[in-house]
Amino acid sequence: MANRVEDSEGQRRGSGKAKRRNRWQGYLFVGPALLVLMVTSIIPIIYVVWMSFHRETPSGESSFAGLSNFRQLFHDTLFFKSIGNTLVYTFASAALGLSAALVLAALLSRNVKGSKWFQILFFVPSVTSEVVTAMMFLWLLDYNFGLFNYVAEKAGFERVQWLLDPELAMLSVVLVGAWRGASYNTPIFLSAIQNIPGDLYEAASIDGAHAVQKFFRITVPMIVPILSYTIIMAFIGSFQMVAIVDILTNGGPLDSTMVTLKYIWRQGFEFNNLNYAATLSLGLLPILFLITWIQMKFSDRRAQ
Amino acid sequence: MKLGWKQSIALLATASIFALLLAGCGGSGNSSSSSSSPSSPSSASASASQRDLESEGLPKYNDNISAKGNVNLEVWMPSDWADKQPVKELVSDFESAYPNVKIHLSGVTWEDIPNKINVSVKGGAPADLSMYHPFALGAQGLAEPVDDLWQEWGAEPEFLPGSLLDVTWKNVKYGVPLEVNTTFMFYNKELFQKAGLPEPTESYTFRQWKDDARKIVDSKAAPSGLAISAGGWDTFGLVLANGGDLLKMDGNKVQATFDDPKVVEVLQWLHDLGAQKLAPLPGMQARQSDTPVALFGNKTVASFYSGPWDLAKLRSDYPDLYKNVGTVPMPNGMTGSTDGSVQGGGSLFIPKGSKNKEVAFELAKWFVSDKYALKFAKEMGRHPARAKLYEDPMYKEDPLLQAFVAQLKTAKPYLLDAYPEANQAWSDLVRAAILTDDVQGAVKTAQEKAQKAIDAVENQK
Amino acid sequence: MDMKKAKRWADGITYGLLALALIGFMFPFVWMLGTAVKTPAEAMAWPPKLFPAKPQFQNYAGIFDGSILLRSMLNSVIVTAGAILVNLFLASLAAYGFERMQFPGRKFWFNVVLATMMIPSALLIIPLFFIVKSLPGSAFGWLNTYQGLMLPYAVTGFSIFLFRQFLLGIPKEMDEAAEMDGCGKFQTYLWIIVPMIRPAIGLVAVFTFLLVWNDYLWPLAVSRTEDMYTAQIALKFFQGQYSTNWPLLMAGASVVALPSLVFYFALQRFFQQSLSNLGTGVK
Repeated sequence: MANRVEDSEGQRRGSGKAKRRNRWQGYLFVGPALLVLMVTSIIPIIYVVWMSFHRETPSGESSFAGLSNFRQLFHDTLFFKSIGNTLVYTFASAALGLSAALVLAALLSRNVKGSKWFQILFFVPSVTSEVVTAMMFLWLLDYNFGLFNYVAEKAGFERVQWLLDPELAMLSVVLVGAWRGASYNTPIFLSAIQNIPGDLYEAASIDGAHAVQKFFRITVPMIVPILSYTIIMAFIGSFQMVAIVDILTNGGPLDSTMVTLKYIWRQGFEFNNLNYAATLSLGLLPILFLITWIQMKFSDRRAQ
Repeated sequence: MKLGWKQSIALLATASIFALLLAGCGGSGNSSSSSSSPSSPSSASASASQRDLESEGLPKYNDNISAKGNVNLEVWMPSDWADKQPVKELVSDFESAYPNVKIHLSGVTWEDIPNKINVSVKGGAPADLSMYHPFALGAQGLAEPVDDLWQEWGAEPEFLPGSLLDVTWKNVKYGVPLEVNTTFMFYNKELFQKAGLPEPTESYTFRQWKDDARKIVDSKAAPSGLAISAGGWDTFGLVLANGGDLLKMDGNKVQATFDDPKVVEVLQWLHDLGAQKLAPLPGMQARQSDTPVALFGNKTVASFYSGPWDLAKLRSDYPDLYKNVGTVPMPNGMTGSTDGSVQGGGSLFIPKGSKNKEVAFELAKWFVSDKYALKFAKEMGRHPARAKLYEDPMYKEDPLLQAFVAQLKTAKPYLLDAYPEANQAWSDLVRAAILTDDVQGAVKTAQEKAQKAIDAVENQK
Repeated sequence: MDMKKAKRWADGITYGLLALALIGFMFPFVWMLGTAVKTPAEAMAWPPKLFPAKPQFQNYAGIFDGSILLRSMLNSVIVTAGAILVNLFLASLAAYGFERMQFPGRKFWFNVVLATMMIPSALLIIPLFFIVKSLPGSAFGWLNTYQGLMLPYAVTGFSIFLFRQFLLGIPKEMDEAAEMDGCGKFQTYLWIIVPMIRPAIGLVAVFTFLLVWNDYLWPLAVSRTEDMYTAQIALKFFQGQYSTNWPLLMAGASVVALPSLVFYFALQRFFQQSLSNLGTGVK
């Protein structure tokens, strides 16, 4: 980025000084943001790391604990179960949600009359907080009071144990996650699809392709970069999910929906094992780092 | 237009500062509390030292308080206390008696209180007075011990012994009991009649309850016999009613007794009720209190167990049904030889690190005073912890409250709250007992987990 | 003739599926609004009814009656607006610095920014509380102040990242042209880049709005008096110790969700355009 310009006043004073000026000028731009992040994120994160190597004494002081918290982590079957649960939730809700979003986006891109209104209303589920969303579904899915079971009974079926059966409870949580994911990602896919040059479709039509063929042979391949972006963002987001489980199942029944963040929260704030909770969240990092690293590789490759 | 490098920095810096200032200049965090104080009681117009507080039913005037100079008291009450008129009245009443004290009253959602106390105490900015279960917070080092102030006050004998358990941990007091309640049995007279059953009496047993549930279902008087809860606290009430307990304090050793036969009996009873479709399966969510009363209100069940708050709810939300409601203390165990229930409510406490212990304690005394405690009972349905207040006519006149008053005598608080991990194990156990068939297996797992957790806490001390 | 028929079929199926999706997305909200005008008994009635026979529209007045909801929504607006403004400015500036400028440590610090996105924020609350309490200001630092409420959202890794992705799509020739006209780095940023990333600004604004408006834990920790509570805290008040007033809670929730929807609606134009530039590399 060396300045090749010669006619600007500032450059005449000598290239040495200009180069030095430019070397650190970047910090003027990133500095303020980094300063805030330092205070709000980085120092607290360092504190969390520090905490994972300590434990709390009865008098409230912190004493050095070496790796004992980490050893506890390795023997913590519930933690590993929670990672498994979270992965199941992540994969399932991402697959369902993103597929639905893709299909909806493709339909919206046909621009039938009234598409604009559909677009706006489709985003409503993303706009309410996770907590309120979960509360709505809590009552729709309730075994004794829920509308869904009322409809099931009216239709002649047995009541469904949406939130009482370990497998169905995970399914219910996945469906709520997918429901939100579909809403959130539809506008993203729609924009990507709208960016695809129309002549590709025309050429395919001339060759006699159906709509479905066009979808799989043109639409999907052309938006692979966006697809990978949304998949990875869905991953990171799903690992942070806790409100849905908190309200619908409280981690049950029988820990079948105990996701990692709920477990960390429980250890840290219900059991007051803050040091151990810090350790657990560090244990989560390798997975998230890996995913983000993959993400970065993709996005940088896209940019070339 | 041509900004040199130096000017660019200046512009950048100014803009950043401006942005942060814009954010900051709206701050008004030091403004006083928003609680709109109603017109103070007429006696407040007299100067503080002229008021005869005792004749009003308040603690006598405490010179120590007025001698303290300007005091700002931060009071965090549960959200369903903070917005009520009697509480706001109390605050302005206290302020007029002690003009040097300014009270900032805020509401906090009940279930968020432990969390908010935890963060504020650990962060070094605690409130001065709050309400929860002080024994649990004292056990975690989040509440100030107040034995010295109790000594000075001398009011200990006035309180229901069960209520004092809510504020005591390892023989140290951490608060002032404010509200007590307990669970008892509610039943629908009409539905019992329809099923051809006599009304439950004080010698009712769990076995009878289950048999009656079957008769209710068979006679189609109602779709289910009773509503059960998967909550740890509610189920502890059943355990106590059966003569069992979850913790045994043997001198200094604390033992979990989940595997006690009386506990297992109760769990099996719950399981059978669900499995045999005599009671609707409860939800798995943390909050269990919404469902049983609604099932009762819809006439889906003919009976349930809960506390006086549901009496108020039935009266306001289901007025027609209310005429047919009957109450009776909890059944006397499986066979009729035991008596007990769980005590709930809450007590005032002073978070650890508060600089205004004495003033906060004085305010706590006002909360439990004759003048205000009865107001809370009459206007808010919050029942007092001081025994003599139960002589008030209101407790004699309402037949439905009799069961509550009777049950209070043998109610015990939920001490598992002091051991969060053991508490979770119990919670999980109740749900496992209802949902799965291997009750014994679930009990064994939970017992081990709970004992391990209790030992871990105890060995640290 | 065949083409027209095929198109009508296709349109029909499109409408059908879109309508199905609409029902699926909207249905819980229909239930929410129906519950908002029920009595507590009707809210938990069996058999359940979507709408009550006699809607209690006064519930919508009831939620404001003697409650802190209005004031707390105002607080949320202030905190959210402040966070958005600071975020837009500092994050876009930082993204420009990371993407367009070379300086020692550039790669390192960018990775640090990414890393901050991955720690669950709940655990950071206690150290953050302590830091905020120690900042200069009053006896309790920035606790119970607007600036304290805003601070954790003032800069987010996500917004820096998003702006940077967007900048990848803007060719460096534009910068160089500006510099040839004698612009310094900051001027290039201000007069050339910012107008070009207007759509990303819309995106970051909306995402930051949702983040701040719906957050609960931090406002709960930092506020000490009711006049500094945010909307989500006030909303939770409808959950009492023993029972929840579901109609009021749902009415309150629908009111609290409204500003987010309005904001999204207003910025919809930006939103649509912006996402097309998100690293597809097509320019």
